[in-house]
Amino acid sequence: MIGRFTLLGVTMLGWFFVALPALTLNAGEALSPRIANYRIEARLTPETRTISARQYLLWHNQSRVAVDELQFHLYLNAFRHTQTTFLKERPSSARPYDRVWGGVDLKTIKVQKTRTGVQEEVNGAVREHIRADHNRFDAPPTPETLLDVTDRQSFIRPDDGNIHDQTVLRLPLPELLPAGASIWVYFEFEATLPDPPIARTGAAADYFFAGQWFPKIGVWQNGAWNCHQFHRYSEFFADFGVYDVALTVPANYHVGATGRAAAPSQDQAGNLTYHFQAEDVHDFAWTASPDFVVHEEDVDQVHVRLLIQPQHREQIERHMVAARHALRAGPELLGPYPYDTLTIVDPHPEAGETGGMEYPTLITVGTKRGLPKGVRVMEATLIHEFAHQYFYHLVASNEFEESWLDEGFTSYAEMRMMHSLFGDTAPMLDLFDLKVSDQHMNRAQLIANGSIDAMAKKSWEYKSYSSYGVNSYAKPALALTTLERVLGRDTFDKILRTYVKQYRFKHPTAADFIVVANVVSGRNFNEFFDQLMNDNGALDYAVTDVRSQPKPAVHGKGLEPEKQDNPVYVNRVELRRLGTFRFPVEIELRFADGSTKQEQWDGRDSWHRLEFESTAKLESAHIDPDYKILLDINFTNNSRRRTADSDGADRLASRWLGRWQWLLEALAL
Amino acid sequence: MNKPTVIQAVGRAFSQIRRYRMTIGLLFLLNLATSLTITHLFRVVFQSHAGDSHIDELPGGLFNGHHLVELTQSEASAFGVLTVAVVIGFALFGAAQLFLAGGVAAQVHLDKGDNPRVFWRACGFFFPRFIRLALWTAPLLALIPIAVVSLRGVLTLIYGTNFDDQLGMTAVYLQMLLVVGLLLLLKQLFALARLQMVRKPARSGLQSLVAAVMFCIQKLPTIATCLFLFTLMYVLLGFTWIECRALLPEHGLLLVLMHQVWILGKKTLDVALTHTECSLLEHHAATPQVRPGGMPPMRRIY
Ligand SMILES: [Zn+2]
Repeated sequence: MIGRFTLLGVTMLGWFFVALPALTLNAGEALSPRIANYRIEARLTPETRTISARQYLLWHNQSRVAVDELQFHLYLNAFRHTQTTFLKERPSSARPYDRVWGGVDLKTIKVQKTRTGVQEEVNGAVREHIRADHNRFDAPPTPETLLDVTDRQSFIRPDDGNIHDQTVLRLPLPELLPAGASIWVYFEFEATLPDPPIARTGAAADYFFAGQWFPKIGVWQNGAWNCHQFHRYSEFFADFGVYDVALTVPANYHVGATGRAAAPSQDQAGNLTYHFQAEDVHDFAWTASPDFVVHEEDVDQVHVRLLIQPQHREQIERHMVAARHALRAGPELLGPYPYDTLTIVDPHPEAGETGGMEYPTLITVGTKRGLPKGVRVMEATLIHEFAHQYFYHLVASNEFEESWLDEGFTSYAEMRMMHSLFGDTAPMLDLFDLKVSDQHMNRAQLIANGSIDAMAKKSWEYKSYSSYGVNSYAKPALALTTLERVLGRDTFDKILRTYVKQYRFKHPTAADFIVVANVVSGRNFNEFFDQLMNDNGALDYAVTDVRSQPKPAVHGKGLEPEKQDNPVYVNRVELRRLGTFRFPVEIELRFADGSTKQEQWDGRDSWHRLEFESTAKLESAHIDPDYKILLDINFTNNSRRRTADSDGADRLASRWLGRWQWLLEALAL
Repeated sequence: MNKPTVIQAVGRAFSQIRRYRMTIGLLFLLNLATSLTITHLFRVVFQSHAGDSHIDELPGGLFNGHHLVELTQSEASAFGVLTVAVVIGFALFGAAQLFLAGGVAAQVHLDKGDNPRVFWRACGFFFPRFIRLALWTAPLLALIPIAVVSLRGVLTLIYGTNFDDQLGMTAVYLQMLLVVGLLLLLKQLFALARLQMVRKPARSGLQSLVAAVMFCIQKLPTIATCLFLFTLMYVLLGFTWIECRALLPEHGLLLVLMHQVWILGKKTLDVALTHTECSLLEHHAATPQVRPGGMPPMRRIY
């Protein structure tokens, strides 16, 4: 337990390690390490787009290393001016220039003293008394008892050295914070939401969405701060904790936020204060607007609040169909959803930038009135954002550095849930003859942009947005589907569930997942992931030649002519690996008498030849006949007939003829 | 002579339609020949795509997204050529339509049924004039963006600046409907102007167009009723096609053959519409206000 410890002077090393007591956080049994715990009182002033707030952070140093400085994300500062790293990477977001620019202005920063100030010398070493760690989340100190360190703050740019970027704040501590100790950090700040919104956050008309709005501590990991600047493509990384947030808004505003709300209280000016509490989450976002139509519903144990724009009212049921499915199919696939609320926000039409985003227990979607039922982008977005509740919100991998671990797994889970809700043929788009699933869209992206970058890069290191997109979403989702099909759904689901179970409330990396995949499946996927993550090469296997000829008779000295009762054919099939990605493949051989034969190829060499005899003539060869390997960028060359067949072309043409006839009629008099 | 009601004119058009089998057949053949040519080019691409492989066995059939992905990827180079071919095909089809329009109009104007001699001579005679007429009609296309901007203005007045979100897809459909509707109306105006020119070949393109506009203004209820009735029939034809599509095979010769029934129906409606418009024009011109006589026998010209 954290009692009265002594830290031996600068010369003394020997860090000691203290098992943390169950943290003195009043709310419920801790599911997570609860490292970063926030109490915030915030007041929204709609006219100025500002949030004035007081914030207490109780931060625990659960590492084995003492900390001499803290680092904070000030994400809103990415929208201060055009010279920030974010807006230099994505200049178009800055427009219009007469906008309300975003930012976080820190008025006061105070920290708790860690030492008592009493020093004594024992046997030549300096001994110093450290205060007893009695910090309780429900009993923050008064600001007056804290040490003002406002002047010590400075901005750092660990990623790109851009001197104009103020998204990372460095705060040297007056005293070393020993391993195992906790510290209160107090901020008074004013956050300005950009209007119109940029990248997930901002204000539009009387709609406010506050994401990444408060000074947020980085992650102290392996003796260093993991606290990246805010980049165009990057998302986030944070430690779990408890949030207790009081939000004061005008009385006519509806509020939605991470966690559960108590009944609001009203002040003399008539403003309402909503009190939200969330445990074991690593972020807190909220929205406020008088326009929302609020629909509430319990789906099993989860209280769902849908805050929808009034003009989208007729889509409440459509949203709920997707939400109910997500809340049931999600836990079935990935394990229990550990929270008791889910808030779904439909952004204001002028705040599309805040749509399609995930926060703990709060997701944003976005729709259009009258959206045809067969166009399921809204449903796909809702299900995708819900799946994020597992990937990053529960299994808290580093979104800055390994974006595919959250977006890829989420996209995979989205595909699974979309397919189980809308069927396999056209879960995404079902309009007349056009039948499209998310798998098709992912493959189209993979084919177009899959080879620009290797999959595993820091999110700001991809060549382009499309490369970030394909490597974070499409490629990993297709890779996981490939694994699912090769291993069988049961085994794969076991891998997925084991991974989630083992790493919930932790910060896993790709290596952790690969270990789980190998152990659970009993196979070795190291090379598969190595190629995927570190190489930009494509996976493409092709059948290039199929031959089958009657076996020639043998002639010459000493050879007995073979007796052939039935004709025998000599067959030759040539296979090639056209990409650098190696993956074992199955080959199906089809014969004239309707029989088939299966072959295997480890796929390592650049080509492979099958030579064999058969009693029936060989008609065709097909690599991966069940299309298990969705990473293959060309399915057309996967199979080859010995002789061309016009059936397929005729079928296609017979349908297209009618289309052309009707189209031409548009010009007819 | 009594002015026929629109209903009577339509009825007469359908009672006379049997006499224009050759015309209908010719228009149909033009459609078939053009679409077959374009489809053939696509078939070559489909064949190069699916002929050697089993790709056509992909789950979900040839029209699911997997296939679109494969097709657009492996035949990407061919699609550039195909696009050009389609554009040329449509342009040639349009020109041929313009060419045949003179023959159709002249025959219908004479009201004596198919007459190959009149037909082909009128085709040749009116073709250059119709091109000029088309050029005079083209500037009217500027009405479309003006109408769209006006519609958006009206919607803004009613629903405010965020009408796009207030109305959602309805706003999108309204604008699409306006564009398509105006294009079809302009096509009908051109068709009327064409008939005006055939009735009085001495008229220039501009004069014919003005005459057609004047007719529409003076006889707005008549022409509106006529177009409404034919729109109903076209919609009914399209609706039965969509409804029957589910009963027909997914692909193959039977589908192609059955489809021709609808295309023939469409062509029949086209000729009946021309016939109706022609008789409405005739009877409008034959009203007492207009002094008859003194005009040369126009039919001699072609
Ligand atoms: Zn996502």
